[in-house]
Amino acid sequence: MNRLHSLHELAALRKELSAKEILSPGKKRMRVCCGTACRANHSLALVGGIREEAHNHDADIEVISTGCQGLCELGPVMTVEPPGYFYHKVTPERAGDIVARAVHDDKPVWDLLFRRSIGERPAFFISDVPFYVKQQRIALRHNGRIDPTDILQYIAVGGYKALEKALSSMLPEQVLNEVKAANLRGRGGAGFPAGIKWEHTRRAPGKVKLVIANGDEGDPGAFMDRSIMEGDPHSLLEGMTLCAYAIGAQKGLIYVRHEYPLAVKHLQIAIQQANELGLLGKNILGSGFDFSVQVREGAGAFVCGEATALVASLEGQRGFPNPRPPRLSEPGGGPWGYPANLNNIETFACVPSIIEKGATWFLKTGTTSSPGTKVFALTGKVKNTGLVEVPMGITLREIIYDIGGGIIGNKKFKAVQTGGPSGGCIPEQYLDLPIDFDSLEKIGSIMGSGGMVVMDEDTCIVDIAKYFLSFCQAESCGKCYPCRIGTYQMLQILEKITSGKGEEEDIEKLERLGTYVQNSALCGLGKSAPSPVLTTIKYFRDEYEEHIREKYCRAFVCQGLGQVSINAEICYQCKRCIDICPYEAIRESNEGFFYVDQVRCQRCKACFTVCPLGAIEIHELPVLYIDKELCYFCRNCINICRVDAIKETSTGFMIDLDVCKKCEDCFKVCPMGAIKYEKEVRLLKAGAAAPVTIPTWQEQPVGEITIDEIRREAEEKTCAVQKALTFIEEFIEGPMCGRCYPCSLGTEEAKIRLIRLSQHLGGASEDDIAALRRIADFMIEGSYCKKGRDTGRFLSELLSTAEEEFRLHVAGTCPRRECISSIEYVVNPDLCVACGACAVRCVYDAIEGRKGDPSEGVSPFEILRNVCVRCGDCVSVCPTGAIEVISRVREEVVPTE
Amino acid sequence: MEVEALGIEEQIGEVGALLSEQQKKRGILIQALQQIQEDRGYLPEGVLQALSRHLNLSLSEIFSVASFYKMFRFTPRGEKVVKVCLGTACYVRGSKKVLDAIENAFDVKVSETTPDLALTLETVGCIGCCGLAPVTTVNDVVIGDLVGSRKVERFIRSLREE
Ligand SMILES: Cc1cc2nc3c(=O)[nH]c(=O)nc-3n(C[C@H](O)[C@H](O)[C@H](O)COP(=O)(O)O)c2cc1C
Ligand code: SF4
Ligand code: SF4
Ligand code: FES
Ligand code: FES
Repeated sequence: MNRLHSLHELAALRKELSAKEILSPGKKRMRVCCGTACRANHSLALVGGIREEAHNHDADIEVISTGCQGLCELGPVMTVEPPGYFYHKVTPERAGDIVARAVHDDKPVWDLLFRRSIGERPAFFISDVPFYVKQQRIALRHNGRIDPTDILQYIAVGGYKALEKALSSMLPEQVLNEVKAANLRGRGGAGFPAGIKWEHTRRAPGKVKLVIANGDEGDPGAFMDRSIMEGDPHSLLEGMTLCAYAIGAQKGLIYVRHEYPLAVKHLQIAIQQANELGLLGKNILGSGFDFSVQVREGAGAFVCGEATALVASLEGQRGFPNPRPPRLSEPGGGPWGYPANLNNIETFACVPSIIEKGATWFLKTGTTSSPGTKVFALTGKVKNTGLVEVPMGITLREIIYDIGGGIIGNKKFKAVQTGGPSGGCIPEQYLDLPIDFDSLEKIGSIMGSGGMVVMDEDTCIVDIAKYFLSFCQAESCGKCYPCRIGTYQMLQILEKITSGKGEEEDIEKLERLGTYVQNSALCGLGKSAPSPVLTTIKYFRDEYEEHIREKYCRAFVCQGLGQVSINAEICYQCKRCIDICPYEAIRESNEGFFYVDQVRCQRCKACFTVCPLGAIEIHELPVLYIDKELCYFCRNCINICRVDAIKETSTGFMIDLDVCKKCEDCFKVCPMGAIKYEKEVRLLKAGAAAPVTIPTWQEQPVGEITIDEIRREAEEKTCAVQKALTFIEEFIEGPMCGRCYPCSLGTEEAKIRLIRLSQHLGGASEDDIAALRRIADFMIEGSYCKKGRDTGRFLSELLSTAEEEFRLHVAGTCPRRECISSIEYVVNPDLCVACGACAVRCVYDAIEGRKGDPSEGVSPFEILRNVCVRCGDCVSVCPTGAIEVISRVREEVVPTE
Repeated sequence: MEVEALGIEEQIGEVGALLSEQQKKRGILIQALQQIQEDRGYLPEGVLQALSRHLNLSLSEIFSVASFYKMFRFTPRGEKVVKVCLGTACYVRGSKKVLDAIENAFDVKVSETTPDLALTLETVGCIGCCGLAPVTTVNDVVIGDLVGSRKVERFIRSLREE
């Protein structure tokens, strides 16, 4: 690339690029997202595949690897021009289809288009995707549209025009005034007006000044700065250059989070290309203005996002914050004492548009006090997550429901956390609040860097507060006491509350401590660390109280609240809880019931959520004590206690309640009844049946037929095969839920085999008996529940006690003459009038003969023995009673009626 | 990498023009530590001693800086470095379960390495792939969407494999 020596040459280059059709409209073009998330889903392979296919087709397709396009969850995403189809979840294997379509007829690849649901029309263009509809892009204007590693593309879409304008026709003061007039507020946290900050730095004495871009994006859940650095680094560079021009700075530093290697790489490429073209470095575009930029990597400390800590880190020190003043903009405040202007990445990325289009244009968007747009990273329990850039003043409802598509699983919205761990929780009542810097602050939260984590009813508010606090606590640099000790203390209290040991005054203690920390911590980290706790107490106090008083967590998140037990009357032992329990706490008692072993149970409540019948119940934790009057020190309780909770003291035995797991083992062994409950244990929550619909289960009130009844009914039969068949048929009709295979498939197969044996149908053989034995064994071993296993056992017993009888059935006889195979139907030729009624009725085509007139003499109908299944239907239709039933065993006529 | 070969001017870059010799040396400290770690996998004490001489900083100062930042380690790491994201988005989508599962499967705790140096388990704050939450990285390759015990099990099996 040739260095550009003047503004003129830049304009000429832009013209040349458009002549070369770089990014010109109408050309075949594919933009494939190669942001971090899409890369993780193999978008690089997709790009390779498309290039190769295009080459194979000899097609002229411009393939652009872009930065994050914002809908990471649907990644890898791409657009295809013309006319701009938006494809989602594109795997590398689809490259062929996509290119073929684009080459042949410009029709979309249908199955890659985005649909909200199967029945709906697909969204053809990115602008039709609900996620994009309300978005308006200023900071992300080029993101996802150009190749971030190619400066020419940035120039082709109008990049560096703002710099061109500033250098050609604006004095530094004018640039500054434009930014001031646009009231661009810092996007990195507090929303301090950038123009005023610039002015401070400009006014600071001394010739040497610095521009610093804060790319230390440490808020969990936020990734807009990364996306700009990765996807459109030149916007940042241009913004920084404009700032440097306005405040008279010579050097720029970009402090990038260590976890963002791709951002570092793209920034370095961008800086190098800008240097080569003379857009950075000495005598930029021949204007005599010098400005160089370099990247510095952080080393993994959240606090280094704070301005003074960042400065310390740049100097090679521990990243401790320092008291202000001096501010960064003052001498002695910036790195190595030079005045510096520090802004967030997104703040800088907004600057070029402001200079190019003017402050009045910028003021048209957003609210009066906070003009422009803001990028949010929408995450948590919303359907569509990703980066959204929206005008300030939009409501939370629009973001969460219109853009985010609502809550996953259509659950109930509970709260949204804005501003990361330094922000606050916003409850449902503020969903319609237009959000900007000031409105959010009024309700106790902050805009912060734009993280937005949505929570639904399954999220426990106390747990979330604890999580955010523990983040800040762990990231506290430890320099000042309020932050280091205060956050730790608060965390301990929250830990206490969530583990069921909360006490009455804990909420007040939290509030008091939180306010102390807020007021006295040295830096923003400590000052804002209590916010999530304080706002959640403010808006969800009842939930805190519930945890403390009731020891109950309505979202079932907090471990250690409530005692989990199984209601044996409801439980039908499907074993799902056993499968899910991560602690192997559900056991089978000697009597065959399931119970929760309280010593193992960690109260995760996983079983509660899977039980299809709601047999799992949550009770208040019992409080046991030893009545000293009754205890005679037999030590039974001490011996049985598995956690050594019973202590010997000088005054007798005592239960250490902190150690006690409330398993109640001691209660059961005490011969004196000296172990007592402090008060009656209340039932807090009986499980609701989990939402599984099993048709047979719901249609029949199964609880009414028990295995015992079935057994009784079966025992009434005399023939073993009939016994087995009755049992199995009744079981299939009644209690079988069909959820486990040994049971559901096994019983069906057993039924078929038993019918075959009992009716001596074609193919009945020894194999059937072997199969029955196998089925019985499988069911005994593998069935989930006791009913299944009992059925297996019954079958197995029968098979061993009456093996000979089963064998005889194979040979075609039922010794007890209960099975139809022991009888036969024959047509008595003397009575048959050849009316043919039986032949019509027989659904098995087992009756042959020709209809005739009795007066002329007839040949009687005949029943084919090997086809007849002995259903007996023909008997009922014969007008003359010519069909007789004979026993095959004794060759005698069996009375039919 | 030879610590002595670390060019101070080249490392500090353009801002170097504004700085004194000692400021420059101090200024590249974090970068130097990053490079050593990249090269060796951790910060061996011998190398830090050499660095101390090269940058004219006391060893205690180097340790004080290195111990502040979370990325630096003083012990070697396993062949596979598994980082479970405990960032907000991942946390609310259940990354704790993934962490527990790995801890149990390999009998390691967070920031420990298995005795055979096969696996090191760590946690990270958000790595910026919240759209794929819950996210885990294995040697910096992002593996997302580990929801449900079956996916987690498959993931653990893949960790065991080569
Ligand atoms: C603990 C802490 C962490 C911060 N992290 C960041 C960050 O990751 N990115 C950022 O731009 N600003 C961060 N800030 C805010 C910066 O201190 C500073 O206010 C901001 O970068 C100024 O830029 P702006 O005026 O453009 O917003 C953080 C502040 C604190 C107290
Ligand atoms: S609550 Fe969880 S740990 Fe306790 S018994 Fe039920 S499944 Fe097991
Ligand atoms: S009857 Fe069979 S399918 Fe139904 S729960 Fe019991 S074991 Fe499972
Ligand atoms: S990384 Fe591809 S859409 Fe975000
Ligand atoms: S919270 Fe895990 S990647 Fe963002």
